[in-house]
Amino acid sequence: MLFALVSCGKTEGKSDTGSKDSDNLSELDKVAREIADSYAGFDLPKINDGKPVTIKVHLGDIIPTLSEIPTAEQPDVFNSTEILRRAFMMLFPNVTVEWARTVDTSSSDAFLQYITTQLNSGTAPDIVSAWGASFAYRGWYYDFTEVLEKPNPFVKDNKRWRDQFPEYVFATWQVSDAKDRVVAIPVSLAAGTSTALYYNKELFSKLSINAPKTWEDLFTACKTLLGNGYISFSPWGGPGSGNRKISTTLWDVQFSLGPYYAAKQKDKLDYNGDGIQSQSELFRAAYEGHYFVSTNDYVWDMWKQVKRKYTTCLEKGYENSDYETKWLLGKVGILEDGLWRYPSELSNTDRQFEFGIIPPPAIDTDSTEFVDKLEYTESGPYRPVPRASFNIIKDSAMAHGGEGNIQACVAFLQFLTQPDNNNMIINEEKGKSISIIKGSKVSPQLTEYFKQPFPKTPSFSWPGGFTNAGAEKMSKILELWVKDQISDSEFKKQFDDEFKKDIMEFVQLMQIDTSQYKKGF
Amino acid sequence: MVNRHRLIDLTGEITLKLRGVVPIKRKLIVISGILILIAAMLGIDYFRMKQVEIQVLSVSPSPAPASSDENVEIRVRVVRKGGQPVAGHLLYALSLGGGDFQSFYVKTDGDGYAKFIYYPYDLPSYQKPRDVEIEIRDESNSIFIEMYPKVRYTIKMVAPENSDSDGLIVDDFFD
Repeated sequence: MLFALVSCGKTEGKSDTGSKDSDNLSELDKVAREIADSYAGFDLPKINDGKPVTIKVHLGDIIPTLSEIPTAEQPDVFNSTEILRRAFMMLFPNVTVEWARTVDTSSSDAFLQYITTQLNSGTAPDIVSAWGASFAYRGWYYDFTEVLEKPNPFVKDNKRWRDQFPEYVFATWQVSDAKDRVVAIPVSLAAGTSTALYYNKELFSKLSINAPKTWEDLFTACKTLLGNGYISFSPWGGPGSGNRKISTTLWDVQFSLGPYYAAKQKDKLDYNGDGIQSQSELFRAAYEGHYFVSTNDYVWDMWKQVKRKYTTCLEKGYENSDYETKWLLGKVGILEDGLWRYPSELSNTDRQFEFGIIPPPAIDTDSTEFVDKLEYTESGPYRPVPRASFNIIKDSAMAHGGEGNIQACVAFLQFLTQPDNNNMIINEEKGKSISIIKGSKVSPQLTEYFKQPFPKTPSFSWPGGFTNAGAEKMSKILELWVKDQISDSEFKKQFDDEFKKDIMEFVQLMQIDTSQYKKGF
Repeated sequence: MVNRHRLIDLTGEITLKLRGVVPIKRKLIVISGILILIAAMLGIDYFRMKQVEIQVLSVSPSPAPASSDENVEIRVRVVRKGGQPVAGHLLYALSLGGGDFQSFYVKTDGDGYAKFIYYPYDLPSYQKPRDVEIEIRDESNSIFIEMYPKVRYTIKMVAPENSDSDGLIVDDFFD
């Protein structure tokens, strides 16, 4: 096709003209008005004593699109959060909600630099979406712990805002910091799993391979694929990034290995024995030395599995190869990606074969003695982790209106987690996530994926470093070892040395009281 | 039209040199050629667009309950003016009033038929159902300039009879 100038074919009904813009604008306002009216009779808070206040909000990938009308040329519009913003301002005419569209979250480094600069100039947003509690050690975030104990004023008969959420999410890093303070409000969950393996069904059938259910099955599948001249496994990310760059936070560590190795050590790592490792328990376990590689056989075994995968399962040159075209042509057996890929993969007619989707295969006792026997659900996922969560930047909110601004930010987040409002957002995500609010329906796009059994991933974590700088240094050492550029003993020593420095740095930054902990180094 | 060039010598005397019109004529010829070519391409694709028709054969159920638990099947057929089926064309579906498609790209089969599954929006308790306009276009028809044969269709929506969902709810995954 030489040009893409016009779309003026046979049309029955309305045409796409400028006047439709204004029609649609009023349509959004109409829906917003209906929502606002539905709160008649609710005892809503008086924000900032009725005085004007403006909040700047960054909602990550659920921020509304600039275009409000879907067209064939720009079909992906996102309106629900814009409707909710308007409804919120109708309910609270003294509050102005502005979108912060320029927040740089392209990488954690970019975000750190952006927020630091914006905070210094007084122009930082008040609400951000930035990897949950990852930057809580900077002391930026508002602590929601107390306000979660109070009712959500937008929900009838709600006693505690916290009751709207499944309790296990408060133990995740996406929500709570190492002092178990809730520093981010989650609004959605991963669509079953955060990540998935997409596989070529026809190729698997031709080579008589079963879709891998366990870590060991994955190696069997990769070996057969490689042996038959196919690309076995395409790690997520573009050349040199994502899981093509070895790091301590590889998806394998987070989803296939770490929680299972940690769960086997529950007597040591879950201090209160409730079966869920909180973020403070995770840090304490690290401080007490339970994640050091030189002194724990299970830790050493876990990292060896990572090396095994990257040295035997992947094709040589995987770091810089672009496998997307080869996937479409049927030359790739397994493609690793997020669930966010699923809607577009379903609609991809360029693909020359039928694909299947499976959750990340987890490690079982056929691979190592350091994990428990793997358990599966009958069907559907098990305790999906939060996908989107939002922080209030304390200093920014205080600078933009003091307590009144914080009141407005909290109320806006409560509004987004009201069940009908939350469902409106999730539905527009088209299967990229599921609602975190109890009682919510699951998007129909996910029904097929959820028919299969999922591994019961234990509520345990594996630390890849506690500060950004520490994690980067540890990742570099891991990469050198996986690529055989340092020996096993060098890896163990250097890795643990960096980890210890990182832990001590974190203690200082977070001002963690370690007097009750038994220092493991 | 001519180009005028002005030269000033040391004494301040001004000399005017007038150039011929040949280069301008050449430019005009080239520009006209390009315009004729674009017009021809537009004409070809416009003609092709007019030769193809997308027919919405059935929508089931109709009216459709406003609930994402529903699968609304939309059957379409693409034919040429003479009634011959258009096979292997890529159709794109777009909802202008909420809800979503299982797959927004579908190819026509050998007889020109294609089927879309539409998931309606969920109707909150405080809203009345509103009809949904969908658009389906044929993206495989143009050669030079994208001019898509397309059709718009309004799906009648009603409030679901039972608000209790038969489908999965997120609580199923929490314990």
